[in-house]
Amino acid sequence: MLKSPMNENANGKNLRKLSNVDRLIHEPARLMIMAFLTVVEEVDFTFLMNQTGLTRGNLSSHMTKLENANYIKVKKTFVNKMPRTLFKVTETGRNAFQSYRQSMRQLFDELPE
Amino acid sequence: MTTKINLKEIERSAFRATFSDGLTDIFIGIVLLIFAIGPLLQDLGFGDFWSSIVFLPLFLIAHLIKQKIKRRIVEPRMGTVKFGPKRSRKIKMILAILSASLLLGILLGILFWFHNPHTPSEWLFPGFLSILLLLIFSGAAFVLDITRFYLYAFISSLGVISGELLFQKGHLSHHGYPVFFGVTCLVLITTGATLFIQFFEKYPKPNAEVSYE
Repeated sequence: MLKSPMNENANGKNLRKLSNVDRLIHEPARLMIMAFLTVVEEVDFTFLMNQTGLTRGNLSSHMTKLENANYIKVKKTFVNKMPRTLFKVTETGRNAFQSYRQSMRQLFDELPE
Repeated sequence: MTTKINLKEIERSAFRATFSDGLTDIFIGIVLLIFAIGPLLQDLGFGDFWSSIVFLPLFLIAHLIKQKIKRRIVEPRMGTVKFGPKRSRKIKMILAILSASLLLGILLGILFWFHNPHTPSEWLFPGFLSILLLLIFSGAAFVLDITRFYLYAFISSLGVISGELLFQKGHLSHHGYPVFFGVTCLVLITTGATLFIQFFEKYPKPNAEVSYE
């Protein structure tokens, strides 16, 4: 079957859409973190580290990026003289995650088999 | 290979993880001691009331110790998480259903008693207790999403019926409660203790302060 230039153009457009996704969320570790934060109300650093399987340094670096983008809110407290850092997804973060989900779903639905 | 990412499953597995320390199992096992030891206390001269009330301080102490272990040992290793309002609503709804079933059961028991005051069936109380235990454990298994609680429901409710049966045949004393609740209690405490040991292997104590800079 011959490929029409119109089809190739449409496929190209769809393919280029891939580069427009939110790169901050698209990174696998941060995607995992954001997915987890959207289903719970609040979580501390240790619980998140255990659930995601990320190392302390790795998780810390990803959380800084998400905090800088205002996707998460950080609260520092002390429990039994030990520091505890709590994370919560912000409204901006929740919206960004939802639009990421929608754009990915739409993108893969539109791409040809 | 494709893996379906399910956000609900992520939340459920996180919720289940909070019960992986086995402390709840141990605590319920201690609570069930009342049915195993209570009847034996009656032989020592304690009445129905005192042989039950004597356990209340024990429950309180066990609860306080559980909370302390949770705060001092479990949380520093596992961390803490707060679940969303949907999860809380589900728990409240099931608790309300369980309480309503309990009240309905008591009411039906009283009504039955008033209609047949001279011929109370010897199966009335064991039957009621068996259904109650089945409902409570199955409800907890459903709400908390912990499969092993269905096993506890089966063991405890079957234990009451089997105990009564063996008691009526003259094989066991005290309606078989010390034996069957003792076994249920042992199953719960052993499972809890095993889970607690596994918890220590899975979640070692962090070497340094786990914090976020």
